[in-house]
Amino acid sequence: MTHLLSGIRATAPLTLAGREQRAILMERYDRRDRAAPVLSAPRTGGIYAPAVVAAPERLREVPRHKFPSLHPRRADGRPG
Amino acid sequence: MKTDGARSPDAQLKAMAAQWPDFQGRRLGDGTLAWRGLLRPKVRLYEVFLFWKPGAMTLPYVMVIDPPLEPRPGGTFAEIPHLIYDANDPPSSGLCLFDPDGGEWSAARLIAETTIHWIAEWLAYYELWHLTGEWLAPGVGYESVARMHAADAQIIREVKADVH
Repeated sequence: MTHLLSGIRATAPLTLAGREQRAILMERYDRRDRAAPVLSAPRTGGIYAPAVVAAPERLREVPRHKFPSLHPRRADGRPG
Repeated sequence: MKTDGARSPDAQLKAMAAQWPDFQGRRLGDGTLAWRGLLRPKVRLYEVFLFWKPGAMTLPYVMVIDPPLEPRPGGTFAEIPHLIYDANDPPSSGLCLFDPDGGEWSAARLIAETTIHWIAEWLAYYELWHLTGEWLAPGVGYESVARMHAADAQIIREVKADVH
């Protein structure tokens, strides 16, 4: 089965390179236990970790928030 | 009902047009504001649709139109993290973008300066979730409906064991 992301087959055994790439991504973007900011680009919404790219002025910090617990949908769109 | 400091619908539409020109916004006859547009947070280009009815909805509702949301290979929609899960039509589930009880968004804040950035961030972490199997962004509460149901089932098993 072709994975959502082009060029990656999630059901295939992970190669060393694949594991290394995932480890790098997790190191850069894992913000679960640290209050690291994340930057976004205008127009495209491109998301960047500050450690990956020196922040040019056009990038701005995404307003701090937490993704909440999910619940079944209610009529007003609010998590129930 | 307009709360203190709430941005007007015109202000929301104007800010979106200025900051996110690839989104097309409109105001429906009942006052609902709706936008459809494109974001490329990481690898893929996504078409998203969001709507919000000031005074009636406490938060904007956001759906991913194209490509539709997908579970991980062999998984279920209920495992996709941070969704306002619609069991009748999982691909139209909304994105859980902020903690409603955490005061992170109100009608006083511009959708252009908050919600759109959070959509892009959600999509980036959704792609990372597909790659790693882990939601790497900060969150509160259960990560997915599947995890919530699993926790409920565990509690029920424990209670049943106690009462028997």
